[in-house]
Amino acid sequence: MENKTSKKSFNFNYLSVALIYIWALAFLLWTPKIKDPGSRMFPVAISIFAIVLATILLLKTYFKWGKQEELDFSGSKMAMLMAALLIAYVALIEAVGFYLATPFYLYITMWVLGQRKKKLMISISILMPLIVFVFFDLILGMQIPEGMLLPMLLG
Amino acid sequence: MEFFQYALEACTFDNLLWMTIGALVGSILGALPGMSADTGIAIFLPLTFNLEPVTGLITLGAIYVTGSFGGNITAVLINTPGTSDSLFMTLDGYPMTVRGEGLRAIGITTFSAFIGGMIGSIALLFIAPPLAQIAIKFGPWELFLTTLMGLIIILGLVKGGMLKGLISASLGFLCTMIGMDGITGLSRLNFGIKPIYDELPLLPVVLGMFAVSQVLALAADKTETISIDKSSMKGSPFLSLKDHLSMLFNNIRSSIIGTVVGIIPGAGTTVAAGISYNLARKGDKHPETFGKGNDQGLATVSAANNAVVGGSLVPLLTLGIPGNGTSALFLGGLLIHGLAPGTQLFNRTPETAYGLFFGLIMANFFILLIGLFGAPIYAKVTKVPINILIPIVGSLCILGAYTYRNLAFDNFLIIIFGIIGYYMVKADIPMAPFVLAFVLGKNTEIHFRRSLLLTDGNLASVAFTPLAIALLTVDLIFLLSPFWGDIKKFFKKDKELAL
Repeated sequence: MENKTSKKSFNFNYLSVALIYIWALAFLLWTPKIKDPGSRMFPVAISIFAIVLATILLLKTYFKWGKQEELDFSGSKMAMLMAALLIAYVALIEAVGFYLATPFYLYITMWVLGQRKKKLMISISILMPLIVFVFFDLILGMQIPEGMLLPMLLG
Repeated sequence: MEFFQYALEACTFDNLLWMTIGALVGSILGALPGMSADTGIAIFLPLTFNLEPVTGLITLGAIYVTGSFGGNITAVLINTPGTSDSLFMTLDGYPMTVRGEGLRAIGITTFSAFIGGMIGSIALLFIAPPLAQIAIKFGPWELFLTTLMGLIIILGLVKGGMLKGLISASLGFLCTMIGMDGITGLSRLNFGIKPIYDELPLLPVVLGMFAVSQVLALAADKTETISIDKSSMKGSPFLSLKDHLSMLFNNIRSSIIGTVVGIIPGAGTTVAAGISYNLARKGDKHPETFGKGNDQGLATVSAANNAVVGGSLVPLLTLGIPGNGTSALFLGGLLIHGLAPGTQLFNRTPETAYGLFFGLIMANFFILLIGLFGAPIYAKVTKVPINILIPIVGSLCILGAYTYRNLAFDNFLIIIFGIIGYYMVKADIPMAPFVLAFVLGKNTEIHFRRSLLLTDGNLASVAFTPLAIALLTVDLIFLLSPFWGDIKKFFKKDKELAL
């Protein structure tokens, strides 16, 4: 079966092949730093195996051998925005700690995803860190990240 | 008997509390489309750090048991299986709901899942300890063949084609070699990054690939909420004795099938449900009613699905081979608590092994509570907007990663692996082989190299023992089995073209 698209859309298998090559080559090029030949054996073998498999995928995609998948990457912009928000959240936790960072992260992410009920958003943004404090901090005794700011302020 | 002694010891307030929490979380996540027991186990893995090993494993076990059941509720009521395990539920469950028997369908799936779960868990109790004693006879070469079996079985797990499955497994294998070499003790493939000098930690990889990738995928899909028609919630989930007896034979047979299939690594719930469903349909007086709301059809797949849970833990706890993707995460739970599958688990820490069995058996009772009393509530759970669920799950993932080493680096790792997992889902590259290879790869390499060292490179001295030949035969069978389906399809196509 072939891809049935009216426009010529990019076949993401090519991107997959490129990424696999990069991944496997990164490992393969690092292996000369491994002094012990026994320790080098599996990394070299698996890297080469991955490169061979990627090449087969490349040929399979180019020559349309076998069943061709229909790959749908729609919505990926929102997914990457979520990833970016998570990165910003981690950075904020490092700065001000979990309890201060989380309400901002929750509120902004809910808003970005289309939630508009402000009372609900504020309630969840406050409630969730509170539940974490009671359940994970007080009851379980887990260490919740404090960030750099709070210890500085408290001395 | 040992089990009763340790079961009594495991009856502590902490264990029962955490079992309850795990059961509730598992069932809720199982019910939510896009979420699963895998997500719940991945999120709870780091949160069980501070718990005793037996408590942590009981929690994860409860998530597994009820997570498998949770998807049944949404499959039956709204034709949207919460997990792929519950796909078969929609065949007969949803038609029953459409004709106004939604609660009756919930009752059927509840009792059948309970019976399946109990039989699977009890089978685990009786099969695992003696099998673990056999595993002590395995030398490095036999252990290599066993872990290799786990990797080969990946081929059976693959949905996107063997090629992409092997690619996924290779990349996972490469990642597991980062850090300290198990034989020489020297750090390798660390790319100069200090936090991974020892290893690429399991937790961020698992949390990223199973939980964060789901967060990203849900954000991309823009699903909002799903609602249930009130008219489908008539009747009662409590069945008559006559109804129970009429389904008993199918339930027991399906439970045995589910347990056996669960033991075979890579086979999974879909295979168990498929075999049970076909047998039930062929043996029924009215096979034409299957797929249109037949009680037996719904009962048989429910029992088979939950029986797989106990079965899948047999190879995991005894030989260290995960029976499916979810039990691979379970292996992560064992490793994080410093436990090793096999004889050590049963001989050195029997209270943990038997405590886990007790937890699994007890968790099945939560299926009854959830199904019989909680179905209308769970129906409302699916109304939680995704734009509220996503940030909450995201926050829990970040918190979970911090509890491991308290390093921001681990959080960046989970986000990176979350992006990788998201890409793999979209590019139709299966994730389970990556995780399985990541979990099993290191030991596979260690056992192989140890075999070479002990035999001075002369593997012939260990390769022809009866046990080694038996294991190699099984490996070859698993290696060739994915091709049998293709050959059958090929001949079927020829027949269709001829017609």
